[in-house]
Amino acid sequence: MSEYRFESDYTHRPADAHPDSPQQPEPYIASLRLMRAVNLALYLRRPLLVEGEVGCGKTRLAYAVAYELGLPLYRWFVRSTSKVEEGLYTYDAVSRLHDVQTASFEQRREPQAKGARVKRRDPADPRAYRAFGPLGEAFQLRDRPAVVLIDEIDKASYDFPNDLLNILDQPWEFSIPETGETVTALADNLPIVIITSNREKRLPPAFTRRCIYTVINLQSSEADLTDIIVLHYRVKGKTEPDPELIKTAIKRFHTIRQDSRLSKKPGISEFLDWLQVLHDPGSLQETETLTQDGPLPYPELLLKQREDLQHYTDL
Amino acid sequence: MEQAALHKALLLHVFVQLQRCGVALGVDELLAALRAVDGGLGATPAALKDVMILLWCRREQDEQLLEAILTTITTPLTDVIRKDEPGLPLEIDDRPPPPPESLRLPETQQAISQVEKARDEWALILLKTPLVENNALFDYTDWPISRSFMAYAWQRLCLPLPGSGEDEVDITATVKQVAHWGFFLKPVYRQRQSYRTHLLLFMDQDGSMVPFHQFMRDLLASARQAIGPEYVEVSYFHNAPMNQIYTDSYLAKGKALDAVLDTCSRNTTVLVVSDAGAARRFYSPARIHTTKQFLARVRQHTNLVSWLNPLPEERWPSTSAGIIARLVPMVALNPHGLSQAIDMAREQFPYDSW
Repeated sequence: MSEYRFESDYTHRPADAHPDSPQQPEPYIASLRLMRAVNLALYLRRPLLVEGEVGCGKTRLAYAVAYELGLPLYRWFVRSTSKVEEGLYTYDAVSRLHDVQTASFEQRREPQAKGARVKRRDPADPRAYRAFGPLGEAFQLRDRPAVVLIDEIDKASYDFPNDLLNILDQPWEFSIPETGETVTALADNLPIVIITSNREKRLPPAFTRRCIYTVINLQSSEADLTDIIVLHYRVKGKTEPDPELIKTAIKRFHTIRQDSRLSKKPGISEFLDWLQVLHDPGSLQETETLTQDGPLPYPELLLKQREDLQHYTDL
Repeated sequence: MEQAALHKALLLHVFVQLQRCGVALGVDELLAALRAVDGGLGATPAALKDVMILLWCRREQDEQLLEAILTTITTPLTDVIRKDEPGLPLEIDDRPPPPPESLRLPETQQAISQVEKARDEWALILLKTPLVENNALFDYTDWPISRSFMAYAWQRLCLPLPGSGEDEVDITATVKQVAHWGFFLKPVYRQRQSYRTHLLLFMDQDGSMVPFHQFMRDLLASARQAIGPEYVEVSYFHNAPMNQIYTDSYLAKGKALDAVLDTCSRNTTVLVVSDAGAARRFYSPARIHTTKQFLARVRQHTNLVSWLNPLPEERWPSTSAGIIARLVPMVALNPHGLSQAIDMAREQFPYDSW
């Protein structure tokens, strides 16, 4: 099995990155525990199940891993009606029927096929009508593994995780009855599956047992947050905010997070947006400044619930 | 490599201890951890501990248990590795680790003192049997029905009712049919994949139901989580539901039963959670009569009714529960009790009412 190590350092990207790999550098600082979890998943090729609050960086982790290792990233947006087959392949039966019916029309109208015409799908070949989903694409890679991100698996039905397990286990293959094909993943390049969950629903125990389970906690210290900010601005190529502003912003952010009246605490992504506006308001008409104890500027960037906003705008 | 062998011995020991304390682990998990050590992922003590946590611990209690087990190894892991002496035996304390203090919840203490005040000896025996067990780690979620079973059972409510008709167009099947016949005549229908269901819970509070308050709270929370809070309605009563029921568990805010039943439709499932008098050892004609009237009123709106009784079936005969069990499908509390109750409720859907 190909050996990969994740070190949370975007400069380690290999020169021969896959074209489907994320092209934008991903500034991500992973805790030691998280890095170990990723490396365990990479070594054992078991799915990695990441849980945590909204906005704590679960999805960005997959991008960071794919960017650093130069691997292609395939993202699967799971919905409540999703079935596992959709992630493997989709078969367009209606188009095929349509092509069959229009082919008979065209033959009657123009019996000689012109070479200059646009090449159409051949209804006799069912493979022209099947399209691979994110997992299906990952199974077909031959030179390196792919990172498959299955986002928000708790939105799906209760049977979905267990059905998924059947695919992500020996013999790592699935069949397509419509075309008669069987797709098998190469043993050396089994896909790296990263699954995120918002903890809205409890996942079946058989599924959580098979995965490597880790939780991303937003208990960052001030030093961690400063590092994240500096890295974020450096990678984006923009000027960093004033260190005093950063310090005050972090302090206010921590105070807000410790406020027990809030129904939804702001996450790192909201904090970065807020800091960006404080640092560079751009063309905003009325700019607000941040102070240690004064009213909170642009509270709507941090607090997204009405009752939370009321606490900070009535002051 | 002596170090790797020592790490593997430690892994094996911790694995066995975790299993003894009730953590659900299989051989696969042990093999995965050993493979990880072979791959160099458990080289340092902190890394080894992380491997154990990531592969074996799914809940916070498991992690605390692991920490407790590691402290019973009298030669600390860090010292062993630093000394780097081959053949240094691990002195292992074979006593089971003490359950962490933080897991004894104040609510349990309250429930126990409440029951000890009540003079109902059946309730006392019930409290001692399932909840306080020797010195195993006390996990208040270890009810006869665990949360995951509850979640799975509630999902069954969203399945289509048997014989409820097919009203969704199945495009793939239609296309197949057209291809087969060569022309389009009519679409093919199938049953809807899931139904939004309405659940009405009636819960018995106080008296002999006090030991089950936590369970009923869990049941309600899991129902709301699985189906959606707007589709679950709960009403409370004491001993038997009458014309007036309560909308809060303290039995303070009253509401007319008719007002609650008016929100029912033919697809509403009604689940009653009550011992139905099984905790007492005699018949109570008043209770039976009131319950009979209640069931008749509910059945005017929906047929999908069933009763979940926390007490086992052996306790029902010669009590009101024995009689009420003949009036409505009644199921005892066991790991499959909830799904059974739901299935039995749904089986009563009248086939001929279209």
